[in-house]
Amino acid sequence: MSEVKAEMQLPEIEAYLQSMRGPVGAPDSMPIEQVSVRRMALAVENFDPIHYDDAAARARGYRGIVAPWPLLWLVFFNCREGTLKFPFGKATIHGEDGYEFHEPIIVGDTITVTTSIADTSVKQGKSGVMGVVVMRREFRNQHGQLCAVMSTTNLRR
Amino acid sequence: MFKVDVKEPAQKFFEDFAEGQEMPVVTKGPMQVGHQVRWAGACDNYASEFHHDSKAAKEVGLPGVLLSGPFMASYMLTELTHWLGRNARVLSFWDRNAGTTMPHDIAHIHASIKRAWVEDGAGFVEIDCRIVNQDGKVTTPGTARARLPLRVEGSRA
Repeated sequence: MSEVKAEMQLPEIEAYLQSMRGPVGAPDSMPIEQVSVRRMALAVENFDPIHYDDAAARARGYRGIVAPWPLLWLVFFNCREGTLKFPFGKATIHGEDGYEFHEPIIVGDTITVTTSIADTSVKQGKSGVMGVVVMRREFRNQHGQLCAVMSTTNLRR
Repeated sequence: MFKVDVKEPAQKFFEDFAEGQEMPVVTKGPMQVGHQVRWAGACDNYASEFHHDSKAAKEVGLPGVLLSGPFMASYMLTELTHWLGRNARVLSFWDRNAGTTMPHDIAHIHASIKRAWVEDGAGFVEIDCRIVNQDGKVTTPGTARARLPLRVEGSRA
């Protein structure tokens, strides 16, 4: 997808967005470390002991210390295959996020992220044409179990 | 490593919630750049200068430092998860970045049960939630869905 210097017109924007759909990059992985879980739990002021203490987590039926779901953003920012590039517009705005939560992420897991562009569209905003791109990320553990799905909507204008 | 003062969420059951029931409002803030810095550290994400540098923020047309939308949403997810109790499983969550949160702002987190039903031997709830700032503006509308255990006769929290 090459950069285009001239200002793109609506049909070209629609065609470009359409061409973005599908898988983005190769799956990427990272290990989940205890200190990362602790740091995230503290940042979001989550003081549930399952995020800090192995015995407390096991007493609640988990395999080990549980990552609070916002830790998905640590994986998001470390596995960067899904960086968006646009040949139109000036700014990309982070619009909204949807999450599905499945198998809990546990300290010691290795999480693999698979990224795709699930949907694109064009909307007419107050300031002109706006491209809408929905990125879908699946997070699976080392056993292949689906832990979470994150759908991030970005607005380009 | 300092010991975190943990607090286990209460044990609750589906029957503890009714449609229309509201979560006691949780207030965060005044927000500080330090909150954002902790979030950035927990995410390994320092790429967006406007999230921690006022001058950089103004240079891209923003009124000043903005706190991350996913960070504020994570506060909301954390609080509603605790409200539902330690046996609840949050299945999905959605939020939209409808307004900005800046240093010194206050964030009032609201949540209520929109729908409650029983299916296949478990209780389910749909939740409407939102963050409202000190001016009454909704900065972060959201929704969630969770599964709760049914109360077993003789079982008590």
